[in-house]
Amino acid sequence: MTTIAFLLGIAAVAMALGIRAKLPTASVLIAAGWLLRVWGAPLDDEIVRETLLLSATFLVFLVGIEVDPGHVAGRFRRAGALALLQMLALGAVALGAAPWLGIEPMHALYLALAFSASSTLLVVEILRRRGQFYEPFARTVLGAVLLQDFLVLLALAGLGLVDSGFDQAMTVAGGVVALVTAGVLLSRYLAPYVLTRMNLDEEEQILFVVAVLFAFVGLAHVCDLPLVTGAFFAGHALARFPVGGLVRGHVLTFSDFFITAFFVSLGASLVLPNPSALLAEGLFLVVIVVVVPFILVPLFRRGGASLRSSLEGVGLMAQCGELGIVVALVGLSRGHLSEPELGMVIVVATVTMMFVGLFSNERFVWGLVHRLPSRAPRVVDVPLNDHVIVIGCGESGRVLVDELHGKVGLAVIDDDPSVVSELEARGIVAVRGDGSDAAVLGRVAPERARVVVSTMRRLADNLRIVRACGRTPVLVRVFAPEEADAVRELGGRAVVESELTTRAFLGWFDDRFPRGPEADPGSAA
Amino acid sequence: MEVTERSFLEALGIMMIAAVIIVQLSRRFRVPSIISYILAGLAVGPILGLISPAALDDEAISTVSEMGIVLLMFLVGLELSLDRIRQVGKVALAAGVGQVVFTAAGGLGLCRLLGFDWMESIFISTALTFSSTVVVVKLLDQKNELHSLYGRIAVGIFLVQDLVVVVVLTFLAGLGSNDSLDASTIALGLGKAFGGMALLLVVCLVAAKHLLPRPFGWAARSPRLLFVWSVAWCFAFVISAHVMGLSAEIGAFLAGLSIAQLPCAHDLQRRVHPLMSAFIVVFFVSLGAQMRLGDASNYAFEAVILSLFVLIGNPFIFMFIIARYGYSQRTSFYTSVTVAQISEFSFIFASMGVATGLIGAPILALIALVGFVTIAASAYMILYNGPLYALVTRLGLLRVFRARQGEDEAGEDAARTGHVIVVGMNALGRSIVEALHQRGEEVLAIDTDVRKLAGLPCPTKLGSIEYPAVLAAAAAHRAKLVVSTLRIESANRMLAHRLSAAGVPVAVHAFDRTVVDAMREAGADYLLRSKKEGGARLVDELRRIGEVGA
Repeated sequence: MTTIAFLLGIAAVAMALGIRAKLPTASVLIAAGWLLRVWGAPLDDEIVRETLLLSATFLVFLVGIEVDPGHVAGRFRRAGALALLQMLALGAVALGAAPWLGIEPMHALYLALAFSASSTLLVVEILRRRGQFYEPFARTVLGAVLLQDFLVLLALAGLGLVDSGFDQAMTVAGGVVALVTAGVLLSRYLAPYVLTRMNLDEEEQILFVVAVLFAFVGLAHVCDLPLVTGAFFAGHALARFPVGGLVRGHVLTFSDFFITAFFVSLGASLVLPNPSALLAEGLFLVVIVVVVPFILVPLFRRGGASLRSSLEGVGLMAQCGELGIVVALVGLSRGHLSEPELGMVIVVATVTMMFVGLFSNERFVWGLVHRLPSRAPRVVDVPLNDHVIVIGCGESGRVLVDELHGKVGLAVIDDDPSVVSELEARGIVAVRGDGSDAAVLGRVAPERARVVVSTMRRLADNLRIVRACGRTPVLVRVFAPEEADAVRELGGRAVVESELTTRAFLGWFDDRFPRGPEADPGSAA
Repeated sequence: MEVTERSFLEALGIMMIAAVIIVQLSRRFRVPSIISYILAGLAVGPILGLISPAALDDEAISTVSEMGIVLLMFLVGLELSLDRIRQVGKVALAAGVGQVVFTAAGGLGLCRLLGFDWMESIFISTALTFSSTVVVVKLLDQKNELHSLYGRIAVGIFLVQDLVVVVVLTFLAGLGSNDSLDASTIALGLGKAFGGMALLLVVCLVAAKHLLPRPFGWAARSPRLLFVWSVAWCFAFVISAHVMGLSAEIGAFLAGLSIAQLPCAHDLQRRVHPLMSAFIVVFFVSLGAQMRLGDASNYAFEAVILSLFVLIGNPFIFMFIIARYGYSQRTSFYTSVTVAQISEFSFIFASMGVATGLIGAPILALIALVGFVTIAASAYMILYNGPLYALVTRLGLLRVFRARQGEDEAGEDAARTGHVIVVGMNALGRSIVEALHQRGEEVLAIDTDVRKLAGLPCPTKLGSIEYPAVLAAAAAHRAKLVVSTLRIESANRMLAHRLSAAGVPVAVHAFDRTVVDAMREAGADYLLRSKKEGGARLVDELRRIGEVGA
């Protein structure tokens, strides 16, 4: 109990400092756990080890639950290509550099696998925080990290077969089949029946979810698979709506507790890599953060994403996360990785997770967009004068385009290639790109436009557009009144979604819940 | 039966899976969950031999088990305020001490009558004296009656008993290797314990009023930070209590009590509860797995007599004491029923007796059997205290206590009903709250960020609607309408699904056209289509400023 108290105590302090300094929780917690060990706190090694084991199991389970596969449906092809390319690139670098760095080939494979696993939890957290969870590039990134988790765990099971015979290979293959079958049965029949029809109370539902986790972990154990494989399959089988929503509600606290426990106990059991490993760490950091992202950007762009969205997407994937650490822990337990190599994975994960917020940050990405060479823009060959420019053809933009088409000259900017093709087919001038990019905006002659209408989501984008349009009137759709104030300060006009939506809601409310005569003095007369 | 040595994770998994199976099997017979857990422990331990005693002694398993107890008592502290505890302080002290004295004396006499020797009688009667805090608190929590008057008196009594346990343990520690009492060790132990109790209480009071409000107010902006701070605070108290020779339960309770005054206390209760529910299972299954009932076969008659003494005698003593303090017949009865079982401490105490050779293994088995019978029977008595009270009143069995008739407490505040719940205090949420409030609707605003709830003209609740308990606490099932302005698809979808199943109208924010179908399928009655509204208004605005024709 003393050990748990120490771990939680240091975690509490570290998280507060992390929030103040705007540093990622995971990195701060690992550092705090390590400091606890360095200071010589009286930690029971067995408890630290068991805490790490239990929390890693729960963590991978939570990763499995986190993303409903339905959310990324339709993007698996592109996402799969991204995931595979990242894994192959890292594998090639690791194997190629292994003799040079003095790393054995098997160890290099584990390292490549560990570095390939981006943090799903971190990606989800950042996308939710920035309100980008539903943007097309975000769905592709989520699909990629989800597939990465799956592929990494399968590869991990495969690596366990090295030096094993046919029988064990069959056991493992049977295990994977059994887990998949059990997952399908659980997802389609058992979990929906137990959790939505049996009328269990909260405690019974929680117990069922935990028992499912342990049953899958047990199955993986029996089939010589890594325990985390069972945990991931269990989580994934419970992720579909409506079961997923119920389960997420129950395990939110577990998530807070075990994420904290995992990272801080990891730090407390960290063996720092040898100084001689600095070269290897530096190499892998450069590959993860610089090389691989630039290999992935073209693939993103081929899927139709703008340069900016592509950079944001690869920025989110430019890290090694919690699953990578779990992979390294499994490698260590199998004797396929040394303690300093585990330390190397942890250091790389800590550093990359610390910087992922920066690499996918708007200002950083814009800096890159302006510095990177881009394709010459396609010339708009229709003379544009006294036209209306619509930036963003989502739900709001579409209402505008449908209304204005045929009545006024119209030019639309959107970063979705399918939207652009559809508009062109209707005879509307459409440009693919980021509407807040002055170069893209310049192609539709804003200086000669009658008015520019922006339906972009981010306030910073809209302010950039208002500035770029000079004397041309700009009308902006914003969500909150404070955002409207910022737009008006720069000379733009704004319509405020929240106020309009409230008005529409009240209309429905009055119809649905008509006020009685006693509440309406007028009607009493 | 061959007993298998298992790793920590295997043992934990077996316990959880066994608990689920037994709970599901016994649901049809309305067996209280804690009895199912103990039966699961009996099944995986003594009966099937899936878990060895060594596995139960594993440091990690016992830590998980202790964490369950700690979180349970932390929750109790969070549930109660200092004022509420103070109101029942006198009666709890009198009943706690009085019951210990009378039960110990009565039990000693009964054991001598049953033919046990002096040493056995001392051990058995001491074991019969203490009631199980964990069992009772768990049952009261299950009934959602921890905050009731009788629940508070019961908690107070158990805390007094915990202090008496400390005294007993201190005396045991004072028994030197030559079995003679070492007065200085006892004095030191007692001084440390009572001094420590006073110190922790002072820290608790100071922290509640001066130390915690500001930092916890700051931490409340991040639900995870708030949760980790609270649990860390709890464990700091537990360790302090341990250092001072007090029980972990007392430390956890005081930690909870110090946070109970803060606005975030209710949200914390909901967050800690699921974790406690999972961990406490390990405690009860371990308890069952440790019971070795086979050796008690020669003591069947004695077990029946002693069980009846606990089930009837203990409540009798309590009923008498509590009624003397002017509490109503109902409150006195409900409180008394909570003490009709012996504690897990009784097993530990008897095990110590066996280890030191003062009593034999059959006595330990007898105490385990009495423990199982009384815990099982009292679980039913507590869960069904209403019908039981009606029965004994009808039979006139309570007249002898001459307790006051009537009620001690008015019922709960008028339950909220016909209100509109608005979830998510972003610009849209605040706008809707203000508009509905101006129309005279009773509105309840919910958000996870305490800053976003500030300055609203209506009652507010801190919490995430992804926790079912938050909806329950907001009385969502009695609401006129629930509105979510969140931009989180999974949360909105689940809310629509849950509430439409409960027949409550629900409006959710369909913040992107890709989520519209999913929200409708989930059962939303109305969709807040912010982008669509924005688009329509843009057209109107263009017309208004004359940039496009009508």
